Amino acid sequence: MNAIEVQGLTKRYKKSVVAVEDASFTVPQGTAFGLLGPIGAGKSSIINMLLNFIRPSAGTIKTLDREIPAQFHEVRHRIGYLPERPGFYGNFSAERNLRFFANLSDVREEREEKIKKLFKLAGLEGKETTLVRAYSLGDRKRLGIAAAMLNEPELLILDEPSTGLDPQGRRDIMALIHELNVHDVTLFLATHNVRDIAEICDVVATMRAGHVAAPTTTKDFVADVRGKTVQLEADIANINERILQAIRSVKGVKSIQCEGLKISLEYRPGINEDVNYVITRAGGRLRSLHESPSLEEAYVRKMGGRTR
Amino acid sequence: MSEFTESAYKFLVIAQKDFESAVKTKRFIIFGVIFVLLALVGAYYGNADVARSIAPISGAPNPATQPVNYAISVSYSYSEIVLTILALALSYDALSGERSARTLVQLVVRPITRRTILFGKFVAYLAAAGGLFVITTLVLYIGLSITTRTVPSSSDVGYLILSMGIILLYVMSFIAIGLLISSLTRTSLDSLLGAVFVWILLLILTYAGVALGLGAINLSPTSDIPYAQFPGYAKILVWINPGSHNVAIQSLAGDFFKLTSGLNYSVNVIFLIASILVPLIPAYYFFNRSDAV
Repeated sequence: MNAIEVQGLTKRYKKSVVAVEDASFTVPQGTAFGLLGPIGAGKSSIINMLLNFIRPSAGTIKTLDREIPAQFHEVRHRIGYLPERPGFYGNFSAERNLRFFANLSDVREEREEKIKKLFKLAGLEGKETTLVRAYSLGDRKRLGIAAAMLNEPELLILDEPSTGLDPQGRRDIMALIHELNVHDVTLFLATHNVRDIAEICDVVATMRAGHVAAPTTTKDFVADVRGKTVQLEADIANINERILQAIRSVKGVKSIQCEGLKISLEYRPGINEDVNYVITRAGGRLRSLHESPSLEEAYVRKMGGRTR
Repeated sequence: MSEFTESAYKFLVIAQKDFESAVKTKRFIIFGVIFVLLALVGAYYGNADVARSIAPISGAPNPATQPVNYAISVSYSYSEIVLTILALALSYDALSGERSARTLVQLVVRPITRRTILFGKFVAYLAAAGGLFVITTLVLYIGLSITTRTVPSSSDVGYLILSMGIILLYVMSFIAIGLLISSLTRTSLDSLLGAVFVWILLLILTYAGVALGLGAINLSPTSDIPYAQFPGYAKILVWINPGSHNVAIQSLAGDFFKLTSGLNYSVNVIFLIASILVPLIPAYYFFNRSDAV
């Protein structure tokens, strides 16, 4: 069964501005679907139509087997939504906000227990009574996820979940989202960040100037963007022959250039971790390890833009 | 839970949240304090009039036979305009403010109708502004009765309750106007400009109606304006303002026969109820059709 089915979806603002044009895709239940495109591509417009915030100019949407907008009221309790900048009542505590949204989400039984669990899941324990206006953007996003999960949704729609977060905050949020998908929640993630897609999604569709390309598996997409070979640049404090030997033993290594330690190897997911592991195991003190070009750089190049 | 009980529960959840938010706002505190001060000053001067044994005024409580009701009527005349500003100040960005703060999407994505959101807000603001008015008036009434050692008659107490009902209708009409403005605008600033514009427009229309009406019948302004003699267009300009149907002071006096704005008592009450529904119905229509983002 499909969680989302979109056919010929079009959104025009004031007749002349086309935000989305003839978009068609399906999201099977249980998958993590990524909609990848630059800011202004029309991703949020698609989300706004999926959630009945705005009406489509043409086309059809079926969410969890119900026509949107006509039958949205029948499925909204099965959907969770994390906006790009989640809005809360700043003069209320985080707990009071969640309790308010829980009451509107038909969560009555074991409400307090559920709220407690969600604070734990979102990593906000100890901040329950803090006023939301004192929350950082990262904490607001965490609270946004908790609010979106109140009704235990089957489908979670996320709009730019990592935007505006520092690296640690981003990592935590993405780990949290990944955890949700493991528990059979269908994810629809719209982002301009190719790393979010690579880390979370099974399927990806790219979007540009209102047009959605045919979805493909994330594995194929990443291979297509990056090419088959990747170069890792390592900075090791105590490089020696033993460490080089260990690196050579990693599956897929094609060549090692000792000056600046550039390693060419066949790309596969988790390759950084493998190289990191063998270096450390051989007694190497790794100061840095990064891909060149990075996935973002490769993606921007492929899209015909510039990295800088 | 039945669908009705479910809806009623969510309505109360919204109303409670908005009431709590409303009474914590600076605008509530500022206009609330001004309202209470003006009500006190009005009651003080009303009481002073009673002490000076001034002559009865048509359509107002008799200072000699209804001293407490008279003092309250002076209190009303001093403070009720601030109450309408307070009602408008609470409601003008009720919906646009939620949109700007991005909380509206958090509401409409949940199993709750927009009708429940709108009417929950309406009741919350009524409870905030109306509650302040009712408490202030009752405290003043009891205070005046004690300080003047007057025991109001049961009919005077009945007239007080009736007059408070009229003032509450008057407050509701401004809350409805605020909600309409809020449903038509996208940001709090636009809503504020809209509220100021409407408030000034209502005043201008009333004065224009009076000026045109007096001009048409060749009369200079007097304290007792003969609205009934005005031509139709001048009457309509006056009647647009819900304030022209405010028969609270008449109610305090128990005088149901005096014409106000050229209309009898019950027609004024009907106009007052209409001035709530006329903005509220389109507010619901526009809010229901508007984008949540």
